[in-house]
Amino acid sequence: MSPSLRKLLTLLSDMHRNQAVDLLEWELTELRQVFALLVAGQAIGLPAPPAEVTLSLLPEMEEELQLLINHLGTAQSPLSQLYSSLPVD
Amino acid sequence: MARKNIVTMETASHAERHPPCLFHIGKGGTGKSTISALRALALARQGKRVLLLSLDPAHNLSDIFATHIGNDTIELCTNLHAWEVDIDEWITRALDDLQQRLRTEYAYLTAINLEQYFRVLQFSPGMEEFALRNAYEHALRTYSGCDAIVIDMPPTALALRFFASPGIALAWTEQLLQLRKTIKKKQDIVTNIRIGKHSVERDRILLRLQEQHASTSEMKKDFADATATRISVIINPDTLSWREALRILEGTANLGIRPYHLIINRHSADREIDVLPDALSALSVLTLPQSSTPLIGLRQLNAFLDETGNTAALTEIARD
Repeated sequence: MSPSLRKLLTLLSDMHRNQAVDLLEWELTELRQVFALLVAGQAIGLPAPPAEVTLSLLPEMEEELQLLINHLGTAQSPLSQLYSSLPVD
Repeated sequence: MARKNIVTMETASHAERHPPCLFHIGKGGTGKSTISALRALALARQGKRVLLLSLDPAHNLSDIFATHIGNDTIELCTNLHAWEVDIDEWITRALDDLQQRLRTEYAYLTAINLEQYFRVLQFSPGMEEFALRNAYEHALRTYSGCDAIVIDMPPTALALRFFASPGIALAWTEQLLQLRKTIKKKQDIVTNIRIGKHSVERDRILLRLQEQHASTSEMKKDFADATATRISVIINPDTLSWREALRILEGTANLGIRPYHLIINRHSADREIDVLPDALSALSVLTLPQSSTPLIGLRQLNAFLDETGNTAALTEIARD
């Protein structure tokens, strides 16, 4: 296989791999937001876990809470967020 | 070969890790504290090392023994120690621990005095039973060398919430654990593809959930184990108290817990219960007569035990 063909195939492979991981990362962010909502959902009126569960996890949840706060800005337009994450033209 | 005899913390049963716990529950005023005191004293007189623990926020043990007990364990007589758990103090401890961990994790917040903001958490639903469970676990660990822990419980509502709390926490923890494992799995895939190697980073949330799952499932299992947890329901010869006892049986049955003894306190010939419902008479029934004198102070309690003579059922403990 010629070096240029190999380079092209590697490039294509990386491109598809990155697209797949982007989607996985988006799903991961959503899952972490759901997790944060379940643990600290009382802030927006969702049923809460027992105090001991929330109190135990709260000190470890800085990133999750930050994700939740960042999500507030786009929460009103879930479709646009979905379309920007999925390869839809 | 000797390794076969080693009992690890994971595989040890409650009886191997902790002494049997004798709980006393029932309607307010039926004599839970007095019977707890009598039972603990009867065991101590047999040479058993006993911790008498009050989880009732309205403590009566100090009044019954006519001596201040309080939130530090004291020795009442040979083999008998007592401790009245101060729930507020244990809630404060839990909040202090939280603050300490928050200060460590959210270091940039150290400039702010967090204490004043977190005090309000003491009024959160569920904090009372959380504090009671912490104190109970502390007693199990600290007094693991005792032969029995005799526990005077709060009135029915809080007592049932106490027994239900590990199961409720467990239900939440299981769901959160499942979700967190999915997150960790996907995070590992992303890290593997992006960086090209398996993630070695530990998920501290997952670890904490696993710790909590282990401790709550252990406690739930212990509560359902009749050899580890022996619950006595106290009633008086009156309709209101046995009706509440029936509700206790329903409540504990929903939690997979079955009380062992029914103790009819202040029993007398002219105050007999006409017909005891089957659900109650199916328990091991023990009657204690009405004392002719107020049961206050060690001397009176000892005299009552001498008078009644038959204390075999009172001193029956799970491990025997």
